[in-house]
Amino acid sequence: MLTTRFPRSIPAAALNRTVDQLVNSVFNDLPTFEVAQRRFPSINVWEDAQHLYVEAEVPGFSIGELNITITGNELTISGTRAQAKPDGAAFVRRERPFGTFSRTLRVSTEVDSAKVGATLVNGVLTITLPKAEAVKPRKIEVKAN
Amino acid sequence: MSCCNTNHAARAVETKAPAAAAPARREGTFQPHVDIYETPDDWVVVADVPGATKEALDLSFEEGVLSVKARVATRQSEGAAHLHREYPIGDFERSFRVGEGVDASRISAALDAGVLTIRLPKAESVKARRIEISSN
Repeated sequence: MLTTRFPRSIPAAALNRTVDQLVNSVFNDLPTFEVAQRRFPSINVWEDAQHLYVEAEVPGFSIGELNITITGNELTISGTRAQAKPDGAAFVRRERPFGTFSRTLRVSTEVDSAKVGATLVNGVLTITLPKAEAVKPRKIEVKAN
Repeated sequence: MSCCNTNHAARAVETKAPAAAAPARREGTFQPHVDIYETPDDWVVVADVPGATKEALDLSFEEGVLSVKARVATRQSEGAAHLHREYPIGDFERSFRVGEGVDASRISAALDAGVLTIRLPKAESVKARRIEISSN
């Protein structure tokens, strides 16, 4: 079993620098990841005006087999992936990651953690984190004199 | 990554693509990770195809080559701003050369939660057989 360390911070280029710092979200990946062969699950993060979205490829899992927690500004996805083969069968090739994994993302945008939702469809986990009112973009009315 | 015995089973079901540790993910099409294992009755290919639906799968067997294709639709809404990307979203495609020992007419497949399982039954001629010893 190998332990893979993931970069602590995402490349600056991945951020949209034209957006004001307040609106920007930076996800720092904590090095809490451990899984056989390679990092698991892979994670994509994107946002729109109202939400942050964290998507992970977790083929083979049911929602009950994943632990998703949010504590303060840290979102953690963890679980255990069993090997596919039945007892007595012999592996000819083995590429799919297996074992216990845990990945933690630090969310630097304020989110409403009470309203975080998750869906799992065809092996793709999508976690929706509504932005807190304070950080949502707001239209400012300009009054004419 | 360690894998792949060099016994006869490995030769019976063998990927045509190079066995690179990091699968190629480029230009929207990439190779799914697969496990292949052998039981007394069949070889089983298990492929991770997250995001694929049954309707988007295309499996074929032609001239000894098993081909797996899965179209995967983009999931992020337009106008969304990416903050962090570890994988592109695209189609899966991979082919396997299947040896003589497979009964191609009985190949079957099932898709569950983004995992495709393909069973390649062994031809009777290659199955291990218990030989009875009769006593006098």
